[in-house]
Amino acid sequence: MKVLLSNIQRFSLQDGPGIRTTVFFKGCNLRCPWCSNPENILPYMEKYFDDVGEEKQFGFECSLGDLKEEILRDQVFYQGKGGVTYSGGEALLQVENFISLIKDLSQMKINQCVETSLMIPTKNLTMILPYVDEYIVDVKILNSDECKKIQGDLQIYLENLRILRAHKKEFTYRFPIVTGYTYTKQNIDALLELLKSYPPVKMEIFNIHNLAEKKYQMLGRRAFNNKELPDEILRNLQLKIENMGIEASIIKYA
Amino acid sequence: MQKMKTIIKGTILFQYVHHYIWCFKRYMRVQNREYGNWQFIFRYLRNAHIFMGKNKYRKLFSSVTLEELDSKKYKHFYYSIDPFKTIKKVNRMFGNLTIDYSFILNYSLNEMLSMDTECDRREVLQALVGYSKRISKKISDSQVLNKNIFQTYFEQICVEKAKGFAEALQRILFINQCIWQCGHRLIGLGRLDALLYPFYVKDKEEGKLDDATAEMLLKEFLALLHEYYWFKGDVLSGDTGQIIVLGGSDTKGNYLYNELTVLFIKIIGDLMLPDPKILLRVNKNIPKEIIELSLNTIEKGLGEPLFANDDVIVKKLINYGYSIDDALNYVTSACWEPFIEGKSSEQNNAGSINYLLPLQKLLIKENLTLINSADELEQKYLFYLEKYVLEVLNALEKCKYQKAPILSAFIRRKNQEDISNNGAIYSDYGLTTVGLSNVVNSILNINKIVFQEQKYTLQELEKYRRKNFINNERLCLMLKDMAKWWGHDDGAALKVANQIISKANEVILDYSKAIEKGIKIGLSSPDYITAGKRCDASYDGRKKKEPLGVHISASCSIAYTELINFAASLNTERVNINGNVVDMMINPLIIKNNREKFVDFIILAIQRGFYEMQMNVVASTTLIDAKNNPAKYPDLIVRVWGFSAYYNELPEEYKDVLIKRALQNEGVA
Ligand code: SF4
Repeated sequence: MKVLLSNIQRFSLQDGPGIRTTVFFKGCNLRCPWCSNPENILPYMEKYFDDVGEEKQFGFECSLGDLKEEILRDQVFYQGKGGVTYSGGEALLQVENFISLIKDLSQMKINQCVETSLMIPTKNLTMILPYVDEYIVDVKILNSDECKKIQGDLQIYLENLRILRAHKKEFTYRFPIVTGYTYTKQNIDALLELLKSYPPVKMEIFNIHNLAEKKYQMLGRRAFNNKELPDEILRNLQLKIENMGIEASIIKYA
Repeated sequence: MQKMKTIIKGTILFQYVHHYIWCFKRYMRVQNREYGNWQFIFRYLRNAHIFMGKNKYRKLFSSVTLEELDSKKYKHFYYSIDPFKTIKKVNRMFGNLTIDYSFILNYSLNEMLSMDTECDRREVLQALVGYSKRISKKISDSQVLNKNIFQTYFEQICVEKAKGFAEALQRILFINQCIWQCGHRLIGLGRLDALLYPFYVKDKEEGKLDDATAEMLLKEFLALLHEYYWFKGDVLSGDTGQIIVLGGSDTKGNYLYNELTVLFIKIIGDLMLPDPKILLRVNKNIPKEIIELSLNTIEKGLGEPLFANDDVIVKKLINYGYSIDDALNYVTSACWEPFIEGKSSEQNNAGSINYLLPLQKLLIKENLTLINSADELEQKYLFYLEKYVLEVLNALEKCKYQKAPILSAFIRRKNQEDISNNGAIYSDYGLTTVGLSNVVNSILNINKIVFQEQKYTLQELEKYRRKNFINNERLCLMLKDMAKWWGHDDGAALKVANQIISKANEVILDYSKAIEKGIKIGLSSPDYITAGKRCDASYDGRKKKEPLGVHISASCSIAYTELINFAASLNTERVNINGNVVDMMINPLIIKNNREKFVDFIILAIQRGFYEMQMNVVASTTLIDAKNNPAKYPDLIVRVWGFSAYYNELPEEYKDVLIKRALQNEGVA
């Protein structure tokens, strides 16, 4: 069995507890304009030209055997809490192809985490519930109509959240601050409501930097130009969330 | 020819001219200069003296200028070196050593004299007695505060062993200054936390010392060792070899440390001086707090402590031939080359192997059309490597060392001989190696584009290489882009690297048996720039004269865990023990945003089994800005090959290497 990946990043410190290996799956069902991994969106390999003019490609197929070997290379460093994080794109779109690996690693007691938009068929989620330890759930647009603009389905999202909770799974929310999309009065109010009805163990908020500009260029697509908000606004939001008794942090990618 | 050279070197004119140039060059490269250039020249002309012949040590120590006693500088200790007076040098001088300071703590100079019968050592010891009396008189004539205490230290040193913590510190300073004064370089300080601990405990028990005083004393002690910074620097400013080794292990693998270990790390971080520097011995049982504390110091950009992993090193030292007790008592020569405290006269930097040179020779000498696979290329390379290593070793055999009575007096010996005559308990020698990463990347690049993809023939490539890739920039960039094998733990680079290391090991072991003297090599070297200048372009996309790879580091952004895995899988068995440092560039934000995880990483990396590891925590943007606007960054300190230094005092090419590596690490280059 093979999966389509765009990258495997070892010594990943921001995708779950401890030191982790993050596996980036290629292919996503959403179209967030602010996406900072545009090379992960389309579910096939994409050609591009690098600085020297050499033809290269985003995406590679990886057998489960090779993927497992790569994940286990850092096993010593997982001790305690670290492990593997499946991210993307949307990793759970390919779950049928790698569920055997998830089961395998679960038996080996490797901590597994999935970062997901949760706007995926519910069966893809239920399949992994017995084996995956950590869940990082993206929070995006919490209004049904608005959410459709990024091709998302809020109903499925809420249903999946309900299932996570019903299975007593703890989850962390990850919330990108994007002016006009996720950062509107209406959406922040909805977010605070969501925190009440489906409280996470932790909430991470982050600014969207225009770091992916070069990748957009390489792919021949137009980059999204986000107006980055001052730290103060992020801190205010963090405070609001903390006042609800929920641990919140501002993450900075470095 | 050799004889002629020796004669010229021995002339008085040569000695003075050489000494003057030597001093002036060192003085000019530091940023905080006490005197103007002319003032400096005038001082040199007035004070310089090179002592030779009979009684030279007595004459030296009775005439060196003593620093005036300034109460601001000398509150508890006195430390004085006269950089302009020295001993005649004809042959190589012993340096890069750590003496056994316990001699001067546990014995008086007179006792040492009574135990030693060798005349040169006796002359030095007598000279030291006279010197300490001179200093005592100088103190007595001065107006310095606490002068009675000072004076007593210098009187007692002749007649009694050290009694207290402060006195022990003063004695170390005294012997240290005397060794520098005799013209030896790169003087290590040893395991000071272990050495000073009994004095610290005793004084505390007797109510003579509290923690605050101990901290104050150590601060002054370290600040005084930082004095004469320009004079102590060797190849570069900051390269002083003043290394303090902290922590350790016992036979059961327990981690050994004490309050002084903690104090030293803390104070080094507080003082923010590049020198003296600290090396922390670690093992898998090290308490987390010690790593946290070390990370605080490292994070400030000091690049120290360097971590040396006892779990790996001690075993390998025993395997090499040191006794268990001695292996447990290892320190390092100036930077990272392990040897035994106070028992080794080993010159671990006696020579350098440049792995790239035999590859270049092969490419020029061989008929490349007959090489049909990477395997064949590797085999041929190993053949050329053997010949080259033997040439290096033969040249070393011809090196002559000057007698070193002052060092011999403070190093444990197996007989009465001077250390220059193999008197020390261990008198092997060590070589550093450089260029292995360039060879491994070159061979794997050739394998890929010549033998696997068949994009070029080896002859074609060679044509371009010899022309330094002029008019073939694209090819050069492509090679550079491909040359990311070294550092990855997926097997390809490790296989080639370990084959090469094993071959070098084998040749050295055979040679070593034949001459009945141990020889060590290691995978770290200060020569990445100088050796690079002697190399033509290489197949890793490196152009002629460009620097070679630095220690065990990657030339691209690579997960630190992967680099540690890679380093721990390199064959550092047998003689490959002369320092194997993983050298990491780290963006400060990574530590700032993930401190706890970074501490875990260091602890887990120890378990994974790196040999040694050092970190430069600095962003490329800072380094670039500091290169363009030095005045904005007078205090910026960086880690160079195995020492910390002021960034502004480094030659531009060293700054460029750091900038390039920081950019590579951040994934920008
Ligand atoms: S869900 Fe994530 S990967 Fe998919 S488009 Fe949105 S930001 Fe990009």
